[in-house]
Amino acid sequence: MKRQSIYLVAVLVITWLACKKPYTPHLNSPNTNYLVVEGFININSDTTVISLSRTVSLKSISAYKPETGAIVVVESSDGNKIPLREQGLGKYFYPGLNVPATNKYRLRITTASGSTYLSDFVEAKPSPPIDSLSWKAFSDHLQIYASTHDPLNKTIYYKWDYGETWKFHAHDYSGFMSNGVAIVQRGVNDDIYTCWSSDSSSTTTLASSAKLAKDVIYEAPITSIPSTSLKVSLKYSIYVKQSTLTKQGFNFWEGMKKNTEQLGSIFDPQPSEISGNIHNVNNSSEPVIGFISAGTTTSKRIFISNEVLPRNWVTKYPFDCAVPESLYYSHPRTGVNDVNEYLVPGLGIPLWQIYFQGFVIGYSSAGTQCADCRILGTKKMPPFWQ
Amino acid sequence: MIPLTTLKWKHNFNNKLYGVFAVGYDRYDYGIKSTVNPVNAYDLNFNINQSNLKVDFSYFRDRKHTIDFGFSSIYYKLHPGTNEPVGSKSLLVPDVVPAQQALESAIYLGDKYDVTNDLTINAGIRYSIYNFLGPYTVNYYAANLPKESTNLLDSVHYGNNKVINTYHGPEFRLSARYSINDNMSVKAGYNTLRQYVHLLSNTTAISPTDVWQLSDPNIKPQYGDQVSLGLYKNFSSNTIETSVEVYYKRLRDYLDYKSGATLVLNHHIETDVLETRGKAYGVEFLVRKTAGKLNGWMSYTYSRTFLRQDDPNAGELINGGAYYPANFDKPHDFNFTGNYRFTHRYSFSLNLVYSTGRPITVPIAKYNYNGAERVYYSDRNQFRIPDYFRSDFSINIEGNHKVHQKTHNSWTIGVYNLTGRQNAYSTYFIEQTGVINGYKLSIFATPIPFINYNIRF
Repeated sequence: MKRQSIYLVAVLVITWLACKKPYTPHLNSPNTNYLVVEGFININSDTTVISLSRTVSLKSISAYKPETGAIVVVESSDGNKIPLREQGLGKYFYPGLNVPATNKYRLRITTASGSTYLSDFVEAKPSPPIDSLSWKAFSDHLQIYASTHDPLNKTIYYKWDYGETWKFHAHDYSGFMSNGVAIVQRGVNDDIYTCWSSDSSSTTTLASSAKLAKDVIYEAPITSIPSTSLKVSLKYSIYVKQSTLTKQGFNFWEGMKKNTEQLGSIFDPQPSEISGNIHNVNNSSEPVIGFISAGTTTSKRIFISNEVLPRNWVTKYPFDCAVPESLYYSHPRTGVNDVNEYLVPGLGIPLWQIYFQGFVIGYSSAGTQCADCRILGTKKMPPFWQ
Repeated sequence: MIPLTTLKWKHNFNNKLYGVFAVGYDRYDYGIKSTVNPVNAYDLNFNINQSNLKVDFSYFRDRKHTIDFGFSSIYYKLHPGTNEPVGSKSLLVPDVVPAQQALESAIYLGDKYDVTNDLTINAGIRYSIYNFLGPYTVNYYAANLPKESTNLLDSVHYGNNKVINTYHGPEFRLSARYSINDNMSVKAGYNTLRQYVHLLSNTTAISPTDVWQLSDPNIKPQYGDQVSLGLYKNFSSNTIETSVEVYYKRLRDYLDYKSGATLVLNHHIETDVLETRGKAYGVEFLVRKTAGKLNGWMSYTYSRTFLRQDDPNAGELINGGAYYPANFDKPHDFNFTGNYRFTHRYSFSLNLVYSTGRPITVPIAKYNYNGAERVYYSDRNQFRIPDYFRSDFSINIEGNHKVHQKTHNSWTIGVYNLTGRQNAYSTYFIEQTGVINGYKLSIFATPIPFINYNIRF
């Protein structure tokens, strides 16, 4: 028998209540306080720096909790032991270990609380020279690449870190300045039009030649700079440091690159697991974050002048610097002496003189952020600048 | 939204052979739309479409043998994600992950063999062929190295309907049922299965998102096999049915995400997933009372599913290569549905549902590394969201029982989620002004009274 049913909802009291509540999972050890070890054992004359810190709670504002008072020793497979010196803020260093590449190396860390940690012995992998740093200008960005090769086919896993420096101009050129009493011509030493700025990136590039028949890395992308960036407005320089990794080290850094603070939205990455090569000698199950590699680093710097970049690239300043304002000794309508009122006390920066019938009647002026390049950099030319 | 269309035609060729011819179309799609921030307003959509053709024959050879055979063909068309701007203010750049398409064809043959009145054996084989079809651009990675962009060798574009790669293989099933006496039987079985469609779940967000993926040259089909044993016994003239079933299952090439994977709108998902091996086992108890003033059923299941990724060539081990609970591992599951009829007009219903919360991986600490703030996570699926518990209660009032009336009416008055438990729909963590806070989102988190008026024609 066929029976049709229609369910008629006469009174429907639906309270669609979606409520969001704070949630803290029950953890066995809410205070993780795990040791974090970062650094590289430089076997040549370059300085070895090891940073020790601790993980902090999710509710903590600062994520860096330095581990001080530890004893950090570089140990070689032939029994050599070199203690590092504590520099403060969790940094431990040695100016130049100068030890042979034929040994393997590890780190022994004894914390102030008495726990001992060892990293696994790693082979010291010397870094071949960077063959070239090259670049390509695309319609909207500049791309920087590194190329290298190892004729012995032994390096395979590479890592690059970089620092950028750029020479730039303030948006507006100021030919005049206040000496506190009056507006005077700006001298060469008081120039605030040309500055340098720099940035060291936390972005690491990794590349591997494992898939290739020869150990060659051709144009590994290091970074890209938007065409509107101040970095490429005048002259840009990038310093790239190359180090080599073992296969395990490479996997560690691949994982670290994916680990960000971005979480919770559907577009954000899934949780990541970080395992390293450092262990507590008395408690192998204690998590320790970090991977210690050994070897040498090589580096290269290039300069790229704006003149060789596409002509149609337009720099976007991070401030709104539209049209300079005109300030007069006697305002045509109000009669107020805006020069004395604003420019002399330094509330604006005079750019150039305004003439009327051969007399200076005022100055065009701009805000500090538009005329003083020191807002975004320093006037001090870096020693390496060309 | 699930539109589903099937057209069936049944034909009896003679009194021993009949066939069912069916064509159908299924579509499953879902989306997430956000207009909270007009500049970032987005509309994210996914869908999976299946067009299928099925021909099934049943042949009653004799009293002892019933032979089933046939073939089927399914055409999959999958849109793994499209994200489009909403409104004129949105500056979002549209992002479309290319569609995937495939054809799965299979033939099968089975025999139900009634050996004696008490023993029935059911055996079957199915052979399936799966073709991953163009248009698609396939990335090829170096062999024996992790599938990562650093190991990319080549990207090859294949044209429309071009067969890009093929997987094929048999599936077997064998089961036997033995009646010990009139109200007791035992059933044992073994079967294998191959699955060409994969499901990945992004469960760390406020709105958990499923991402579907077809097998392709980089992603192998999932394979599993299972043994099961069941004991069935009825009491009180078959008004009480009880059963116990146990099973053990093995899984191979089950997909799980890599550390730090991006699952949504990923144009090369193969670099963000790992193939795991798994095992699952469980026991299910069921009691059902079908007649009397008190009727209903009660079940309890203990089941576990563990996965393991211990292939060092895959680039990373999950939890150091140890077994870990799968995303859907919920060990305890209890259901109770009971009706008690006082009179012909009044009855009570009580519904209880309990299950263990599913496993999650949660951030447990922060640290600084390589000049940036990082998050330290627990082991994969080390924690669980709170257990689920819900109780619903209702009273049914029937109208009069006169036979000659146009409609039969009844009322249902009840409360959904009687205890008002705030069950977690999702748990997620977000960074807010430098600190990371955890949240639990609950839906229907208070007792919800309802009244239904039912009319039966």
